[in-house]
This record gives sequence, C-alpha cells and structure tokens, in this order.
Amino acid sequence: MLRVLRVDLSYFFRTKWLIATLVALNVSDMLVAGLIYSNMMSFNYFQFFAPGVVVAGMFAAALDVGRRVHLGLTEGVTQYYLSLPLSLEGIAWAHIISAGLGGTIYGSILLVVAMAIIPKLASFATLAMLPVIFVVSMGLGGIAAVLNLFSKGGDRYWVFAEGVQVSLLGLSTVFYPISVIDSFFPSGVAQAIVLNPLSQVADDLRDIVFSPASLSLGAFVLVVGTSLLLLLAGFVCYRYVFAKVWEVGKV
Amino acid sequence: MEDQRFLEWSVESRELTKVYGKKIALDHLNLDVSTGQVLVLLGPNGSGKTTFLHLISTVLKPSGGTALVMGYDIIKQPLKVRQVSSISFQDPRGFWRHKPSHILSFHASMYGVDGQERKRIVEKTLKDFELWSSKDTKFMHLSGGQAKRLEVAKLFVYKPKLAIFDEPTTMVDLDGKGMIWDKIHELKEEGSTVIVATNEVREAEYLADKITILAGGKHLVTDSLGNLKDSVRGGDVVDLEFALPVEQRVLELIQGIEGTDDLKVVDTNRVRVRVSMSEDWLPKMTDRIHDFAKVKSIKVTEPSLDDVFLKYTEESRGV
Repeated sequence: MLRVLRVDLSYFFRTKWLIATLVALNVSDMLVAGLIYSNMMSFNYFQFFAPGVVVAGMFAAALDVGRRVHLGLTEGVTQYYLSLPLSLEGIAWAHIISAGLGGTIYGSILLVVAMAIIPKLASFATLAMLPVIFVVSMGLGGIAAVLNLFSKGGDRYWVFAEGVQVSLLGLSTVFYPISVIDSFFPSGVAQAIVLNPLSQVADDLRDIVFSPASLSLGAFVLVVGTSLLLLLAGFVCYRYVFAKVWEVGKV
Repeated sequence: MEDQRFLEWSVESRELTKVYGKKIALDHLNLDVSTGQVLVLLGPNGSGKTTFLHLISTVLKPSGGTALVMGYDIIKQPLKVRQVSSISFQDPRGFWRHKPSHILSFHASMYGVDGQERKRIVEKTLKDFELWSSKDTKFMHLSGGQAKRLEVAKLFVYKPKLAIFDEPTTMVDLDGKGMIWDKIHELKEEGSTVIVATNEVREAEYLADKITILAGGKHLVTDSLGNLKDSVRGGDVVDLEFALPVEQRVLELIQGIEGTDDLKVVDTNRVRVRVSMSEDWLPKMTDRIHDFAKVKSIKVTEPSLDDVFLKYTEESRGV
C-alpha cells in the first residue's frame, strides 16, 4: 500500500510545472486580489482572504487524486494494480492517504507564503492545524472518490470535478464572510455552508489571525469529524470502484 | 512471499466462464497447464485468450466456475495468486510520467525485491531488453515497441512461478522478437510455468511445449505441436519422383495405401500425394511398390501450424 501511495503522490509532483503555475496563480490571488479588495472593504480583507487561498489550494490538490485515479482507470493502470499483490482495500487507502498528503503539502506551501505576509499566522496554532489539514484533505479525497464512482471512469469526471470545486468553494466562507452569506442565503443553507469543511478550515485559520483566544477544541473536533465521514465514504467508493473493475473490467 | 510447493498443474481451470452483458467471452473452459511448460494460446480475435489470461491473473473476476493457480483459488485467494503470478499485458500499462527504471523498480519492489539487488536486476533487465539508452525517457515518450518491451521486461525483474504474456511481441521489431522469445525460454528453464497468448503462428511454433486453440470462448484442443500437425487429415504432402514414367498400376497401389488422402499426377515421372502421418505411410508405400517402380526422390512437407489452426477454427464454425 505504501508503494502505491508513493507512486500516486509522486505523480502529484511529476506535474510540478502545473503545480508551480497553480501556486503562482494562488499567490497572485492572495497578493493582488486580496490587497485590492482590502481597500474596498471596511475590514482587513487581505488577512481574511489569504487563509481562504490556502484552503482553496489544499482543496484543489486533494481533489487531484480523483484526476489521477481517473487516468489510472482510462490508461489501464488500475488493472495493473489488480495484478499485483495488493488488496482492493490497500489500493483504496493508498489513494485516500495520497490525497491527504497532497493537500497537506500543497496547502503548506501556500501557508508558508501566507505566514510570511501575515506574521500573526506564524504561530504554534498554525502548526497544530497541519494534522487537521491532512485529515480534511483525505476527506476531500473522499469527495474525489465519489466523483470517480459517478463518472464511471468517463470524461464526465472533469465536469463533475469542476462542478464540485466551484460549488464547494462558492458555498463556503472561504472567500466571503458569514455576514455576506447570511444576507444572500436562507438560514438552512447558510448553516450548511458553515459546516462545509472548507469553511471550517478557513475559519479556523482566520481565528488564529483575528481572534486567537477563540480557538476551540470543538471546532477542531467538528472539522475532523466531518472529514472522517467524508474519507470513510471515499474509501467505500474507491473500494467499490476497484471491485467493479475486477468484476467487469470497467467502472 | 516465496512458495516452495510443487504442483503438477500450475493452472487448473474448471468451467471457467466470463460473460459481459449478453456476450459470452469465455464459455465453461476446462484447461490444465502443466508446471514448468510453455503453453501457447492460439485463437482468432475475440476467442477469449485475453479474457482467460485476465481471469487467471485476477485482473478480472469470473462470472462462473473458477481456477486454481499454483493451488490457489482465483476468487477466494486472489492475493495469494498475485504473489505467485505476474502478467505482461497486451497494451503496455505504465505510469505515464515515470521512467522505465522507476517502473521496473516499482514492479520489483511489489514482489519484495529491494535494495542493491533491485538496483542490479533493474539495470540488467533494462540492458537485456535494449532499454538502457531510454532509461531516462518518460513512459509516455517511449515508442510503441519500447513500451511493449518494457511491459514484457516487468516479468524479468521478479521471475514469477507463473508468467503470463499477452501477445508479447506485437509492435516489436524482428530482432526484438527473437530476444523476447529467447528470454521466455530462459524463464522456463529457470523453472517458471509460462502461458503465452498470440496470433503469430511462428511465435507459437518457436515457444510452445503445448498449444491450446480457443474459438468463440470455447476450448477446441490442447496438444503438442507434433500431435496437432498429425491430427490434420491429409496434411502431409509427399512428392515422389520416379526413375521411369509412372504406371497406372503403381498409382492404384499408392491410392490403396492406408492414410492416402489424395493423389495427383504432376507429370509422367512425378506424383504428389496428400497423406495423414507420413512417417507411418512412407514405409508402407516403399514396401508396396518396390517391385514395380524405382523411386528416385521423396520430399515430405508437413502441415504448418496455420493448417492446424484453420482446421480447428473452421471445424468450430462448421465450415
């Protein structure tokens, strides 16, 4: 399982120029858009926005495992795995953990940039967030597994992935404060938006910047709990996808 | 991971069946593969060769029946089966952004070959398969022939007890084909059981201890090359040249010999006879006619594997 995990993760880094481009885009978002909007708003939007970019980057990196599994399904690598001394569970866990590591590594790169420009972020509390980011990224990898299952290995995967990315980022507090959300959405939807794991991680990071005293164990437990549910669902989906490939040769 | 058991049969398939929707890809196949032999699967496209290989390598799950690979059940013990067997796919399967050395290294590591030994064996295999100069080229940039050689090479970094090759030389040049065939022979000499699926009759003739012919998902025949050729009625062609013009009486004597299938006078001194099992027919022929005619030369042409293949596949289609 560890060897598959290593191969999967190395794939993530073998697209290093793509990642460099994405990091550059994220950082330019952080610096340019954040600074501009900051001058248009009544509060320090830059400090609000930077943690959001970290979360958006982590999300994209964690979801990337779905792209790699999709390619594995279309290029026959999944069938190759099935010929190796690996269990279906081992292959599923390898992909989920790889999503966790991918999200953590990518998120950490952006976090380092954010810490450099927002000194308040450079604290022990931010370091304590890394295990949380790891679990959340595995949970987001679980979402990728669900997408792989419903796209049945076809090109619909790209549409689903884009749709989920836009929806989960749009319906979150990653880029907008909850006061804006409350004014646009009914209270039920606004509540769901607060529970969105992306909102939770972004809000936890912001708490470190804006109100360190308010950091609570409950917030960590909530985000980790939500993510564990997602990652378990993802494990079940990947287990099902690989069992289906074994049974009929495709998803 | 090493399993020291010795079994008479490396593969024992029992009523092995695979159905895709309404299409029966493999139809209640019963086939045993002797340990230490090279079995070649021949069959037209869609005959079920690849499906059979995918089933016994646990890449696919059967719809019915089962098979034992080195005594392990492919449905109940897939992990055990995967530890003792390895497949080289028809279409090369690799990590697109990885280099051949990484791909072979990964494969070896999956079977517990580690450290310096892995490094040594990967280097040797890359050189043996003429991939050393491409060792730093990403898989996605390899030519078709190079990718195929890499796919075959995987089975030589960890020599499995059961090595399965699906069309190992398609896309490979002539030199490469010869090299791969020699390597497969080496694998057998080192104790592996080998199954090769191919459409190339020359490949089958070169490699096979036994040949199985499949058609329409069904098992038609399994036997040695010699026995399969002998099974073609009238398959041996005997060209007889006589010292003098051949008489009608001699022609009648030849026609009456058991095993004569067809007789054709080529010219006054020469006759072409189609016979079954020329090695039995020739002594009878010389006994029968030696008082009446003097034979100047005899040339025997055996049936080719093409003839064998056509005989069985045409019979299966009712031609």
